Amino acid sequence: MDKISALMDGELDGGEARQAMSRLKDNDEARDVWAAYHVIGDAMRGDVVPAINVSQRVMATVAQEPTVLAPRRSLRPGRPLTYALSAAASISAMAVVGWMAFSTGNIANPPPVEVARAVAPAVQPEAQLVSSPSDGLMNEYLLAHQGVSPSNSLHGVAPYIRTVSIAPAAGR
Amino acid sequence: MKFWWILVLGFLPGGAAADETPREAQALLEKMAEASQKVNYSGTFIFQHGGKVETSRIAHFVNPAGGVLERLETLDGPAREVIRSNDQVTCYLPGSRVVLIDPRGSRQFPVQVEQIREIVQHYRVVKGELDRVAGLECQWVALLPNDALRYARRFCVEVETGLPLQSRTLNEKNQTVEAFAFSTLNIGGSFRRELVQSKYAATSTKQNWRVDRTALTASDSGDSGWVVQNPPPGFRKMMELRRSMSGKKGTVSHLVFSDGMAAVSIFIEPAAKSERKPALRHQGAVNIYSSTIAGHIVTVLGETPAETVMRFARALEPRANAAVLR
Repeated sequence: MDKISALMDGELDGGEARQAMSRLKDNDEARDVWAAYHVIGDAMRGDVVPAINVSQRVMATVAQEPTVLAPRRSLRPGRPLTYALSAAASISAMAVVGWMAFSTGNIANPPPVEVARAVAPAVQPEAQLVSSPSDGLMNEYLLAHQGVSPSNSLHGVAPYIRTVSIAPAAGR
Repeated sequence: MKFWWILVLGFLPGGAAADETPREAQALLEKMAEASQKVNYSGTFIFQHGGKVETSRIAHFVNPAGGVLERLETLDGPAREVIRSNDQVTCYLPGSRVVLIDPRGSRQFPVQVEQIREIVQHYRVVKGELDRVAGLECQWVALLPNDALRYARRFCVEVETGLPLQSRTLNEKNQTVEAFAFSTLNIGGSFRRELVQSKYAATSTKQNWRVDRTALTASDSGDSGWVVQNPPPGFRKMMELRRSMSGKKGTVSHLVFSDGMAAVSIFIEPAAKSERKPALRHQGAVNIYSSTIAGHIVTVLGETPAETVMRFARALEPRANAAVLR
């Protein structure tokens, strides 16, 4: 796991890096750790975390692990243990906590049950739509709109500055 | 006698509201609205939106008949040029070898006294301090919105001509979402053809650049087949038409709403096979919301907070008994 962390940070030299990468290729657990580390990194940077697949895979791995350090047994055998606290699961839980803290701006830790629930895929409600910068695909609309906006005729100066300031993606 | 006192008291609140927008501040707005129709100017300006800052060069000439000839060219990043000749706006995008033409682009609503009157219903107009921009003396005037559905605007208006030398659009957190400022400016002077001649017109013809036209269809006072039930307060329908747009098959319905200052455009077109996920984008002070409504792609955009454009989208529905575009 130390090697994986070092690989991510770009601290391994050529030979060591190749070795670590081939371990990633052959070893499912190593791959999950790799993915979990990235999720944590993304959460720290405040990026949107695609945590769903990762933690499901981690949970599946946890279910197959011989030693389960769980406080309770699952009622239905064969299903992943929600409260399992193996290393891999706690990493993904951390990622989710980190993600929630960063995305809500609230550092207070949510209760563990909430964390487990947050792993389930959730459809983002419309109210939480995040605005992204325009990519130039809206050029025609902007041009058509700016011709009719009274704020442009009031300002009078350069009503087409927005259209012109769009990236060259205009050509599509 | 007591009667009269009640009447006078009853009128007092109205009188107080009118005082919030002094005639002087309102006169400044009127002067600003007329300036670009009366004054020649050339210079460079800075346009800031989002995290980006861009410098552009502009030359603007008017004639006594009300004609306008304007050339705008970006000085940083990919080259882009806009030529405005009376009603026609032409954008040259040499990077992608595209020419965008809006034949009726600048035929805007002329700013009239009624429009200023409408503005003061939704914004408080406040006269600010004297300042200096691009070496010229100017007077700040602020438009402060009465609710969260519009942005605040600040203009620094050149004292002699009323030309806005600097302007800012501010969101509800008082953050600048868009700013414009002249860095150098020459006001007046006579017409100089070389300042408004396109750099790319000849090349674009010779090299066969792709030409995209956005045009209005025959009648522009049409029934779009759509209706906005209870638009956000203060917004009134200005236009309803069907138009052709570059890159779009068939006609696109276009509805325009305005509060006198900010405008919101709604574009409706038949949807392709796949449903479009609701998406929110922004470009400077313009928020753009797109979604699929009743099997149509709907794009709502305006220089308003995101909430306002989303409210329009929620209030939009096909008009009953109308032949909706297919």
